[in-house]
Amino acid sequence: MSIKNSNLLTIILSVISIITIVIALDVLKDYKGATDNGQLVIELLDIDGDIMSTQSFLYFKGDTLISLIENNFDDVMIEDTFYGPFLKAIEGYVTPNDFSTYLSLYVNNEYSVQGISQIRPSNNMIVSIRIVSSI
Amino acid sequence: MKKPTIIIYDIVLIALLASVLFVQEQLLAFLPNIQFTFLLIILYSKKMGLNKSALIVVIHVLLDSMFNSSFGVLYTLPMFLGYILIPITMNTVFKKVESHIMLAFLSIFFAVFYSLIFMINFVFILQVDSVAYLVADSIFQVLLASSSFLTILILYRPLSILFDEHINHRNIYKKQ
Repeated sequence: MSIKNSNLLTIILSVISIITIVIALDVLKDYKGATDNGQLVIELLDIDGDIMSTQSFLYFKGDTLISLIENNFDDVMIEDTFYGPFLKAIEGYVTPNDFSTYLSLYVNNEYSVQGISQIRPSNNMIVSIRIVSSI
Repeated sequence: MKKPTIIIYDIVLIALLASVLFVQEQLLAFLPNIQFTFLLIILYSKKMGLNKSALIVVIHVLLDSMFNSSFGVLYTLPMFLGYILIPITMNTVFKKVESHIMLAFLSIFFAVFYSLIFMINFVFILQVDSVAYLVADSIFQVLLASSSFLTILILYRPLSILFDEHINHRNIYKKQ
């Protein structure tokens, strides 16, 4: 391949990868809202697994998990990052700077691999916010 | 003339290059999976050979795990396996690959392998559903692959020249 063709291909591929990165970052910023009306439970568990607070409430089409948490719990602090929003504080608990403990999300008692903005509220869903130790 | 010993030079160089690798990753940590790590490990693998680049990978993985308090089977082991594949393959099956475009495409393979190997621990230790994991992780895989692809495409050639001219000890010997 000639140098001219190689450079042209490099430019084209670079533009494609930049567009891909921008689109992917935009997808991470997308908050998933409920597609129907329903009822869900959000519970907060301490580091020993004991329930600190449980709230059961109705949600409506378009509601996001973040808006539901913000509207129904006290002392909620959500940090917006390029990875998506992070739940840093809730009901008096604040994630320490060294992340020795942090808030972990479980949906229907299963560890959630999705972030808080990517979990779409659905009927009869149980969202557990657990304080866990990183050590 | 007796060939000068390279031991101290290599130790310093490995420490320096490992520092560059670690610092850039921490500086870019606020961006999801956007980093120069794959570019640098591929560059080091090509220029330093298997042993030295593997040592840099070991240092980097240990530093990263300790710095992020993630030392353990869940993160350290897959991270090491994901990164060590690069110097191993770059010095064996992909030894003859020199084109920056081919290296960029290879980085997609490395990025996907790196992401998938984390899934094994999540599925077996944390009992995470593998399909759910893949779906949730796909966007991060795309980011890792794209950023690795882009950085290699743009920066591999100039860094390769820079490395040969100023850093690689083989060239220093040639000048003597």
